[in-house]
Formats: sequence, C-alpha cells, structure tokens
Amino acid sequence: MIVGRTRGAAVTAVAIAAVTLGACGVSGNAHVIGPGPSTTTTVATTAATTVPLTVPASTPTLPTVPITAPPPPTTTTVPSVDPQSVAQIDQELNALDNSLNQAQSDLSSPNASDR
Amino acid sequence: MTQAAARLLVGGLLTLSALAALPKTATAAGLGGVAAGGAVPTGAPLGSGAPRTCSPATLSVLLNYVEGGLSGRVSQLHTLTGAVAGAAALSASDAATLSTDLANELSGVTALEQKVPTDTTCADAIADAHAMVFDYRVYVVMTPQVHLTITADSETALGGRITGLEPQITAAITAAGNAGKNVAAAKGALADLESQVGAAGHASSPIPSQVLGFTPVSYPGCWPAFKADVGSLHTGRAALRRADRDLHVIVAFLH
Repeated sequence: MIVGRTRGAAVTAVAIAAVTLGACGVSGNAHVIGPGPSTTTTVATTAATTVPLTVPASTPTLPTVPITAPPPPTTTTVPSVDPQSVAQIDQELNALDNSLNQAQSDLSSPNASDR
Repeated sequence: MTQAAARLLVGGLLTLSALAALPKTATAAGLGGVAAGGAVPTGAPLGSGAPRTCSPATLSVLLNYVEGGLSGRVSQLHTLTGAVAGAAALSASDAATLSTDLANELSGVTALEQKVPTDTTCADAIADAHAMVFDYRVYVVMTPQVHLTITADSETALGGRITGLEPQITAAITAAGNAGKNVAAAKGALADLESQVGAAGHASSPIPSQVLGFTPVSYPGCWPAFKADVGSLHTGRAALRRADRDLHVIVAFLH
C-alpha cells in the first residue's frame, strides 16, 4: 500500500505542474528559449525614454567664473615719425605750388585795364 | 613821408598809363569844349580796350566800359575775400589786415558802381574811371598783395610744421642708434632738413609785412618788389621741397 501511495503522490505532482504551465499560457518550448516580457523590464524601458527629455531643461547653468584679464604685454615704444604728418606736409606742398603759381600769374599777366 | 614812400608815389605818378591818366582837375577843366560837342581825351592808353575819347554822343560807351570795369573789380574782390577766408595758413594778423583792406575796397568800388550810371557828363565819367583805377588798383596791387601774403604765410606755416616733427625725428634716430643701427645718413638728412627749413623761413617771412605796406598809390613802384617777392617765394618753396625729401629719407630709414 505504501507503494501505491507513493505512486499516487507522484501522479499528483505531475498534475499540479501541468496545471501551472497551462495557467501561464506558455508552451514548454517557448518558456525555455527566452523569457517573456516582464513588468520590470517594461518600466525600465519607459524610464530610459523620458529621462533624456527632461535633462536639458533642468540642467543648471554653469556658474560664472570671473576671468581676470591677463596684464598687457610689456612693450617698448619705438619712436617714429607720424606718417599722417608726413602725408599732410606733402599735401600742403602741393597746395603751395598752386598758390605760388597764382602769385606768379598776377605779375606775369596783370589786367591791362588797371595799369 | 619816408623817402621810399615818396619814391613810390612819384614813380606811380610818372607812369600814368591807365584809362584815367588825366588828372581829375585837368580833366574837368579840359571838358569846357564838350558842351559844344567836342570830344575830350580820356587818357586811356592804346591797347587798354578803353575808349580814348569821350563826347556827349559817346558818353554811354565810356559809361558802359567803366561799369564793366567796376563789375569785374567787384567780382575780383569777392574772389580775393574768399581766398583769404579759405587760407588756413594765413596768420591771424595778416588775415585781419587783408580782410579790412578788401572790405574797404569793396565798399568803395561798390559805391562807385552805383554812382556811374547816374553820370551825365564826360567829366564825371572820366573822374569815376580815374577813381576806379587809381583809388583801388584792384588787379595790380590788391590782388598780388593777397596771393603773395597767402603764399608767404603758407611757406612759413609749412616750415613750422616740419620743424614740429624734429623732436620725433631726433628721438627715433637716437633709438635706432641705440639699437645698433648706423644712423649717419639719417642724421645727415636731419641736418639738411633743419638747414632747408631755416632757408625757407628766411626767404618768406619778411614778405607779408612788406607787401601789406603797399597801397594803391604804390603802383607801379611796388611792382619790382612784388616780382622780387615771387623770386623769394620760389626759393622758399624749393627749400621746403628739399626739406620734404630729407623727411622722406629719414622716414624710409626708420621703417
């Protein structure tokens, strides 16, 4: 009888297992190859999608770091002649030519009615 | 009256050759026959373009000539006034003297311009023609006075401008020498520059006071002086040109 009872227990265990698998709705073959979607996995995916969208808006601005201008390089002023002054002198020399030509013309061909 | 001034006046009177050469009093006295229709000489020389005689029949010709002459003088005086106003190099005192002289001449010539159309006799017309030439000498005294003074002051100012650069030049040459550069040529150019500026000043600086001392009665005695002044101004200009060349030699050396 003990044997019979053992055999009866084994049958009961197999039956329970079959019922469990049937409740899952998953064939035995599919269950072995890959895990089905789990609630935990889905949540994780959603979180990964939304996080990057919120990051830029909430990124704090960088603190302003005062920059101290470096001191100007030490230079030695080389004396020179102001080019604008030289150009101005050239212009005035040309104007002087015109003025002198006018004075010369006054004397070389004076108005005859005034002589 | 100084001897020089007397010489100028006598010189002017001895060389009367203008339209109104006839003295006013003599002209008026000489017009006694005009009423009878006779022509009187105006005193205008050949080649002047002015009528040489005047009679009641030809009075309008003389008047037209004088009116044209006055209009031309007014225009010339305005031109000279503009030249003085635009001459930045003129010294303040020379500008003031010229401006006053020009204003006085313009006032007198303008008044004459208004009077001449009312002249009814040859005597009046000839007297006004005389005044137009002898009292103002717009072309042969006032005009050279303006242009000679402007030119002389321009040379003086230009010399001063070049002299004003000498401290810069000296410092630059010294710095170049301290840096090991051979500055002999630059020093030579600077020495010549100083010499040329001095020569230019010597040539031009006496001219304004001399020129502005002349008056309408100075003609023609002032004429040789004017010509000598032009020669001096040419000398001054040449010296300034040479100083400018020296300046460019120095600038090229320093760069």
